[in-house]
Amino acid sequence: MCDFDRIESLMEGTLPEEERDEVRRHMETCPDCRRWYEALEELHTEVAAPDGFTQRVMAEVRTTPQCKRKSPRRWMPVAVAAACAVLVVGLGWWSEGRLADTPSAAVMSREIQEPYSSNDVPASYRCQSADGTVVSGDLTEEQTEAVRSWLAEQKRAADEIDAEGFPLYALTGEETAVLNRAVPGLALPEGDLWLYLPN
Amino acid sequence: MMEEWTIVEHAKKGDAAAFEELVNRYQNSVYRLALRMCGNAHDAEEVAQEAFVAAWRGLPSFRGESKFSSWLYQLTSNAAVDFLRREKRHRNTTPVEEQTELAAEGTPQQDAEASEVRENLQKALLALTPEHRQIFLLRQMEQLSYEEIGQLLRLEIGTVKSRLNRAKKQLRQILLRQGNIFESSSVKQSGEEGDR
Repeated sequence: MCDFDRIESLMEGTLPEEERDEVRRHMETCPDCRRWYEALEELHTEVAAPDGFTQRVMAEVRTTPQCKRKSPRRWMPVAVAAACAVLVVGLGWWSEGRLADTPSAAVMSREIQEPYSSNDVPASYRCQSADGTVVSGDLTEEQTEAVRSWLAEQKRAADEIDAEGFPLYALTGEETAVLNRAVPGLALPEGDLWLYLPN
Repeated sequence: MMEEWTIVEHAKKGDAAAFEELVNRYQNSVYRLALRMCGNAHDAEEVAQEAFVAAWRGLPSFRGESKFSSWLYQLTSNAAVDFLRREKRHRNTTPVEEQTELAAEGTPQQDAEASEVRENLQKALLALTPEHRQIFLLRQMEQLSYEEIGQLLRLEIGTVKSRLNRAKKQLRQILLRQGNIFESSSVKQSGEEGDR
């Protein structure tokens, strides 16, 4: 009887020895299982990278800066932060003098700041300049689309993926300058800049 | 030979020579994964190079919660998925002559049969969605555990298992159809994979 799991185990060398002959004998008369085994065998066949591959990679690596800072994951876009601040202040006022079993404002404010639906979250940026000043802001819908198009034209892959699977881009000062020229009205600060594009 | 974690630590601090050592160690496996994802050598080389450059850029943030190789394969398969979406390319065949295998050469007949298996496998892989192909290759080819795949792709383990089972079932159906052979009624359909 065909058992594809056992075929895989045989291929990987994890099938108990006493079962191997049985599976091999079965494959001699079963084209389906033999075909699956051959496919898995082909999958594990080593393949050589093209000649000169390492040199080409290193040529690009040597002109590419490393991202020195970890992406500030889950920084809150300005619009959402403002809304949360209003809510937190309001809750603090509300919770004063309430009964002991109601959640504290601190707990509730933490809950409000939990990951939100990406549909509500605008694209945003965060930039830390050389003197340590942090500037952040949100992009309009038009700017987001324009930035997205520019990234696609540049064939620019994401530098990180956040916990929700959305891309983060670490732009160098030069890239930011080029992007600012490419998108009218966009004035991203030039420095170590992270772009977050949900959706 | 220096321990890998030492080489990674040096590369994290910007040591390009250390990173080159990592490229040398993993170039074949990264390229192979990219090739299986993309279906042709030209795109595979572009994706493999993107993956290594992304690894170089992101290394300072690599915390070592997964093996370096697992992280690198994740970057490779993600780069391939991104590439396929950007380029919207769907190749149906892998030009056989572009793929240089390291396995020992056999007789001409063996080589021809191996070539047919290779071509059929690649066609079948390309019939999967990029996301299913990614999970299948990370599990079956790179031997990552469910937990590693779940952690790297930020998926629940249950989701990893169900996508993998679906990918394998679909792949088998395509491969068997290629051989004009239909699964007999005595086939035992695999349900959940055993934990490994």
